[in-house]
Amino acid sequence: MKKKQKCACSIQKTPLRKLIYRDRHLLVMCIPLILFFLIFAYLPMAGLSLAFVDYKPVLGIGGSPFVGLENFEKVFRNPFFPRLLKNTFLIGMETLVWSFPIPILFALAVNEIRNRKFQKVIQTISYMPYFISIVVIVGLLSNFLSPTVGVINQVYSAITGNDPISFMTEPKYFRTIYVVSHIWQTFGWNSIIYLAALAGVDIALYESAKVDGANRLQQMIHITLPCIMPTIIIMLILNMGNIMSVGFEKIILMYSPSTYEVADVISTYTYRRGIVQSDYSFGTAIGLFNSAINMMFIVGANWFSKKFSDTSLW
Amino acid sequence: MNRQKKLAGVIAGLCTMSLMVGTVQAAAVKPELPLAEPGTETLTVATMDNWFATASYADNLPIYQELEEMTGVKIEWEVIPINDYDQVMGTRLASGQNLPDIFMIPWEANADQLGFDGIAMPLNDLIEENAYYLNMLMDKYPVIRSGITTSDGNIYSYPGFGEGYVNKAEEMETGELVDPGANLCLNVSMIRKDWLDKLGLEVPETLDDWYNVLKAFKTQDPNGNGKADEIPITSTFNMRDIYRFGEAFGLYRAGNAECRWGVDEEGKIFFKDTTEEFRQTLEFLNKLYAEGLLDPEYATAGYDKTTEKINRDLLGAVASDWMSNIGTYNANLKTAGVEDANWVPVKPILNPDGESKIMNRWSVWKTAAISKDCKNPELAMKWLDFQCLSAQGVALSNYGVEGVSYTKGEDGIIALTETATNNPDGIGPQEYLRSLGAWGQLPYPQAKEGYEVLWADQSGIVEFGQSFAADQVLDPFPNNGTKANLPFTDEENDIRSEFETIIETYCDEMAIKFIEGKESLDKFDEYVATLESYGLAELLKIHQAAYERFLGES
Amino acid sequence: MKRKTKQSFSDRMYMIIVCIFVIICTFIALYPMVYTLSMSISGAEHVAKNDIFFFPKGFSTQAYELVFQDKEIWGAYMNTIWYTVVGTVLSVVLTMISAYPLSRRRFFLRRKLMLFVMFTMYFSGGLIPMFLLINKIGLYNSRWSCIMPYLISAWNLIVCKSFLESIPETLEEAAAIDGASPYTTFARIFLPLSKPIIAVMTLYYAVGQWNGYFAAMMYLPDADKHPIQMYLRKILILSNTQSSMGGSSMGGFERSLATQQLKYAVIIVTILPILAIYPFVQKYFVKGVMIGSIKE
Repeated sequence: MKKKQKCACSIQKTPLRKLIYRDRHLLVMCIPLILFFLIFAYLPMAGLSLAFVDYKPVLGIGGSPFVGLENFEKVFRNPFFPRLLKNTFLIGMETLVWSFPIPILFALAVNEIRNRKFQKVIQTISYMPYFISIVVIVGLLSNFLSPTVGVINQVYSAITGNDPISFMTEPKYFRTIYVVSHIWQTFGWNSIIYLAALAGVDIALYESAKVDGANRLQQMIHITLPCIMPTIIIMLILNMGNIMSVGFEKIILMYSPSTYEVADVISTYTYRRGIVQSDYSFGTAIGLFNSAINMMFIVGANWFSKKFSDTSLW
Repeated sequence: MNRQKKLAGVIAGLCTMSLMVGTVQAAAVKPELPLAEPGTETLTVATMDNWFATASYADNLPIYQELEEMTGVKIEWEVIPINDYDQVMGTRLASGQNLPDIFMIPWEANADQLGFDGIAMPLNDLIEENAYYLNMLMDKYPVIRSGITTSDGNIYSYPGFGEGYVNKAEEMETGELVDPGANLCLNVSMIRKDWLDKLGLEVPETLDDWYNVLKAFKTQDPNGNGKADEIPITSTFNMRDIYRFGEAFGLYRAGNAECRWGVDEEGKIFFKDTTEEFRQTLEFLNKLYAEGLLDPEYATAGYDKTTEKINRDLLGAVASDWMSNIGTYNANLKTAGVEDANWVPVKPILNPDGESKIMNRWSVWKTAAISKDCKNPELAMKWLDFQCLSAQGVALSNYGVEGVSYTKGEDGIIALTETATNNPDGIGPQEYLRSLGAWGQLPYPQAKEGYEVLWADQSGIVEFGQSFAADQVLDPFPNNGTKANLPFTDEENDIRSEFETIIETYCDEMAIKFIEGKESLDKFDEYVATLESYGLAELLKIHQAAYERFLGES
Repeated sequence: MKRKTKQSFSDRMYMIIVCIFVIICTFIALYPMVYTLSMSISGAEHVAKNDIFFFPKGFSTQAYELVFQDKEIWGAYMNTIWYTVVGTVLSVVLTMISAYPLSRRRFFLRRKLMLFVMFTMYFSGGLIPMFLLINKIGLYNSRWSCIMPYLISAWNLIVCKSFLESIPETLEEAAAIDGASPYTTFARIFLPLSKPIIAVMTLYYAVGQWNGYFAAMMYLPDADKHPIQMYLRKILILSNTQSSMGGSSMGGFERSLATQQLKYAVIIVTILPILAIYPFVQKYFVKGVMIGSIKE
């Protein structure tokens, strides 16, 4: 009921009945979408109430005793919470800042290559690391960076004569290693969407630019880039909303107590705490808090984008 | 509520109670095979999959085919990759839906809580009436019963065992149980004996010996490549392995040093990571680290990395590892071209009283549970008991299938077959046994004989394991974090879940800072104070209470 | 054609820089793959020593033999193909159909529906309610449990919708004047113009299904229905098992050289087929649409 009313007031010109009739075909096309998200996303959202109860399996979600904000209090009075929040944000932020532009640059560069075969080979190779398990990638990293057997340290010691550096246990290197390896694994995969967008750029535009005497760099900056700008902005906004979603799988493999101070994030801490430690309520509370921050970021980013670039998600 | 119905319920309840009182007396008798008419009964069993990953339990492995033939019970497997088990089973248990008849308790789960929450069935009566073999073993070792009894007095799990309870398979049949004594498979320090010989050094006994040996490893080039690339010592599984040096100060840790709690002579619980002895251990480790004698990667250790260093002929000693790995280490080094490689176990460091003592690991685990949805709990219990502790079950889980992986000589001596000891696929004997389903995930006892059979060609290890006199073996604290814990109450578990991770995180982090000299050990008192402020006192209190409850049980 | 010779100096420099950049990127990206391949076919003792840097040392197919001895892997392969094909087809169709109305600016529910979709990207009920739901609607232990919950990805839907927005509305208006229903407009005009995005969606969904294990792990107790990724996960534990697990009921954890190599072989076996689909998808990138020319 409420929903309908809201719709009606936001569009004041045409009565709702007429709108429904006018867009009936579009509405029909929306049916699967609405059903899908209702069933598989909104129905289970009842589980968010776990954050406000002391969950007991036999009693079920509805029957568990209501504890109000106690689970949130537990989260906030955890002495490590400020650190977890900071680490999660910094890792998420740095990942975004560095790993966002590289796929774009790569796609633009690949696009410049006119030899189709070469282009294809490059693209296929570039997305391979995406499929190699994180276990192997982290294994490779610690091989390279090992202070005892690592290649990088051997070169470093040979050149500078200094003692080898224990990269993996030194807090100040953690984020760099994390971000660089993330880029390594994903730049090719993430460039796909831009390559697809580049395929849509009108070739005629280049022809006319050539006539105007623009060199290739100028063509890239003034034609290619603006053409894929909407895609870039959309991807940026979407990624902004993922800042706090730093997964635990890779960090678990990379960190150790010596790097906790920079590497311990919300998801790894909850993981260590034991997801099964019959404390789903704590996990849900901390997750809810995290989602709220993510949501804020994406709403903010979208507002910003709408204001300055005309591109917007909604 | 209808009053009549209510009354009927009460009467029915009284009836069942009196029935139960009547049947409690009927102790279990030795089960007759088959346990069920073949083809009539099926049990679903959820478990983490085989350690030897290419042979899945879902493929109905040979030892389970044998079991099916003996018991007549068909098993339907629900297998989950080992690392995912906690998450998957945890969710299933928390949602309480579609539960299998029998499930292995997830590692990180709180086994008792599953019972309190009504997910796992109380087993007291079921065990009394159906678990003939377990009763027999518990009569001999009452500590098993206290190990699995929870704070509400109920048992919710069928135990799995490490070493120290079963000597030989056949004894379970005859009922003449012989105490196998100290564990055979110990978690101890290990060292390259060939390096020691080369440098003219003895196997270290005291802390000073250790220091000198490690120093010599670092400076005198025992691997003979002209470079000082030796790594004198590292940890194997996790950083706490190196806390083993605490033995020199009388601070013992069981198994691979997981447990931070201990109990003193007066029965008082204490937290190991705040003791003076621990401070001294850190001081020593700090010295090792400063002089480059401790692997700089000790904190990120993992099994893979350690074996890599071993195989590259770089590593001189490991602080703490299972003796069963020695054979593999030596074999791998030989393949890599180090002919005289010789890893040996080292006796624990002499403590301030000049004695070398070892703390066994606590080896009763709350391993399997019967779910609330199980339709035939008696059969489930009988099956669990048979596969775990009957003579046939012990034989299957310890040496596999007769004629395939082992043979029994006329004198009753068991020996592994050629296929097991020298496998054409290049897998080791224990791996081969695991590929048949032995040494598995379901509850089973690690019989002393099992190790003797497995290590038939490594007499040195067996001798080492038997060289500890009874008074040199310390009792472990009955809590090693995983599947074994003291009988905490529901409320105590809430407190634990709030404080334990905080405390552990801080302990590990600070220990590293102390060891690496990033924080001066003068600040140890500050560290203790911070731990107190994080709720250590409260944790101590509930551990004390739970420990007393535990003692009351036995 | 003749202009080729007359490339300016700056253009040539530009191309050299671009080529160097691309080649470096390619080499970096190629490395993990080569490494994994080399590890999988090298002599086992080198794998244990971990002294392989680029090219294989020694030669052994032992790891592959161990993998292919296991009958389970073939069934898992077939399952993965089924999940990938069925899942991808359904997902792409539904995503395109749903993205179209969301991309129509005049559609009165557009903004509301977008928020409706977006919200689900950030808030989810978590594992337990999802598990209960799957049980309640009868998907537990059904193959469809690996497909149904992933039919439409909000992220992909938004990407798709943005692409469709870039197709000018004038086309739609023109079609409407000709008396075409929105269905016809969608099918005859928009779909053919959307080949690149359909290709991308196909790739995204196919890779998502191929790499997917979570649903199978949670909702499929029956190992016969497990995809290949579950198999890979099983093998990967052979490497770094958490120590706490090592401490408890295992009593020693022997690993021969052959098993240490296993994970590399399984990774190769798992990813080769999916790597092969990219070149097919790429074809549609180059054919591309020429929005501009239609405009004229």
